[in-house]
Amino acid sequence: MLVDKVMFGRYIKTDSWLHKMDPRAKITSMFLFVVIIMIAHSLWDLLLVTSFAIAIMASSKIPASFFVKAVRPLRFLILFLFLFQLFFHNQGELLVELGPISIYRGGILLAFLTAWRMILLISFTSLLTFTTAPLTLTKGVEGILEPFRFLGVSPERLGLMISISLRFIPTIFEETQKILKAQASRGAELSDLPWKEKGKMLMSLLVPVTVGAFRRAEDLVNSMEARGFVLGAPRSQYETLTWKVTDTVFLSLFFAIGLATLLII
Amino acid sequence: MAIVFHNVTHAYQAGSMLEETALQNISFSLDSGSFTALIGPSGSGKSTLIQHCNGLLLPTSGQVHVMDFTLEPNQKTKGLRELRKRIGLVFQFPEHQLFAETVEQEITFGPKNFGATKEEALGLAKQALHQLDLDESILNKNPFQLSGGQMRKVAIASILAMDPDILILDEPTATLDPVSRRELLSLLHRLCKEQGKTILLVTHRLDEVLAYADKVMVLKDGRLAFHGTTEELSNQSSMFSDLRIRIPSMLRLQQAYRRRFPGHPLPTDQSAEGWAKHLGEQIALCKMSNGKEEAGEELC
Ligand SMILES: Nc1ncnc2c1ncn2[C@@H]1O[C@H](COP(=O)(O)OP(=O)(O)OP(=O)(O)O)[C@@H](O)[C@H]1O
Ligand SMILES: [Mg+2]
Repeated sequence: MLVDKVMFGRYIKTDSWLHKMDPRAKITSMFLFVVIIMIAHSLWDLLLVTSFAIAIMASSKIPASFFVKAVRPLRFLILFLFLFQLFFHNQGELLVELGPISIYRGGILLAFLTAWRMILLISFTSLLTFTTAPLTLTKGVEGILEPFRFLGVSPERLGLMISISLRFIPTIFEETQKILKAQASRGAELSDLPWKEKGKMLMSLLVPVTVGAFRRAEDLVNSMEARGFVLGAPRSQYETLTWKVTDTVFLSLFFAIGLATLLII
Repeated sequence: MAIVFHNVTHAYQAGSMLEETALQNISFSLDSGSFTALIGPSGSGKSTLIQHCNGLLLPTSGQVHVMDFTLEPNQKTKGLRELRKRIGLVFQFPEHQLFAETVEQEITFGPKNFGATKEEALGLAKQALHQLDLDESILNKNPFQLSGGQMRKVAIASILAMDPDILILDEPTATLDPVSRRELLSLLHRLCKEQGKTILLVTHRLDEVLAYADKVMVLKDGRLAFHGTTEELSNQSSMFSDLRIRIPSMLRLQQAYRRRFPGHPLPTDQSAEGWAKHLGEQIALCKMSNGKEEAGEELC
């Protein structure tokens, strides 16, 4: 089923130590991780970063299959990047030359590294939503944006936008799945269709799903207003964030790895 | 037998941490040409159950037999087309699944997929609209411009137009006005009795379908709590309070009648008029046998 395959933006409750971390620490460390991935160029850098990432992912108690599912939707993008590097990078020894296609040693290496980095990036950053409940995540974002308030940034507004978007991802997929099921019942099973028809059908879903999403959004806004919600108005907090020693340690780990990759180059 | 469930268990996201058992060990069979009402509290697994009937969901264990098709765990979806051609499934909130640009495209979608020509499909669409008391002028409209009730009728029409042998409807009467509700139910009843279609209807309003249904199934927490005729149902008052379902007024009337006139036959015609007539006769009978009015009232 479509919905089972989409893992992005899902919260998975396994009560690991990562779940208990301050969301601000997690968000910051995810940013650091993205930076580290960008500066990690050599094979050794990547090996180091990968083992670090795998250790953390394993300690989250979330089965590996969930990370695979998180990467799956982007497999074509990864394949594209892989092939792009493979065919258009011309450094190192020339290995194969077939008509317009020429493959160099450097191209192969770069293609692999690129794909590897993409996979690592997606699977590791999906850890953020896997281990952070949407509401906590919103709080984290608000907390991180707090210092930028003087620049005219409204943390509440952005936080609300993020939490509503996260809230809607599964809903939109559910809606899509509902229509797909209904169409399968009427003799148009998506997986049985040829590619061209498949594309056509998915396109035809765009309108009803968008209409559905707007309908839901409107209901949500109305129900929030009906319950007296005013953006930015002082509200009592159900749970407040506390920065602990473990959060500092966690964050420092990422700095350490980042430094290590910089130095190994 | 139109539909047979054999020890069917279904778990959503089976095998993962999010596993959730929605159906447990369900076994039952529905006769061809019968009208069955399926009731049960929210979350009891009704929608899950009916999606097994055309292979949208497959059992995690057990088997489903529908006509001459067998559905088993991990089965391929190829070959289900023939099955789906003969089963019409109207989902809960069918108006949410409208997708076409015009009502005509929406209703002819099924028939065309199953091989009807454009003209045939249009004929079927018009017939279905007629059955649901919708005007043909609606055909060129955009489904999203219709009212909620009209959308629902169009969605139901899109299934009727496929002319399936088995019709399964998930709370089709919710959001319809009372007149349309009654009309839809009597249409289903007619299709069942005149054309021999098998009907399975999910509902929260047992009251409404009692007059039409041959059998009633009750689901509770993913298990089949009751399956029997509507008469057998009247002996199950403890189950109703258990399930927090209001006992249908018809059953309450029958029970009260039996208490008040023990041993007397129930009216043959169970409509309101039939009851009024029957009660009148009972009272007259009492008066006659006692000669005196007051005594008669005491006795009866
Ligand atoms: N797609 C799904 N993924 C996971 N769990 C689900 C899914 N759909 C339903 N469930 C669960 O299965 C159980 C039965 O749901 P189902 O929709 O069959 O109930 P229902 O009897 O139709 O309820 P209602 O009367 O509210 O429509 C519920 O506990 C529900 O949470
Ligand atoms: Mg339901």
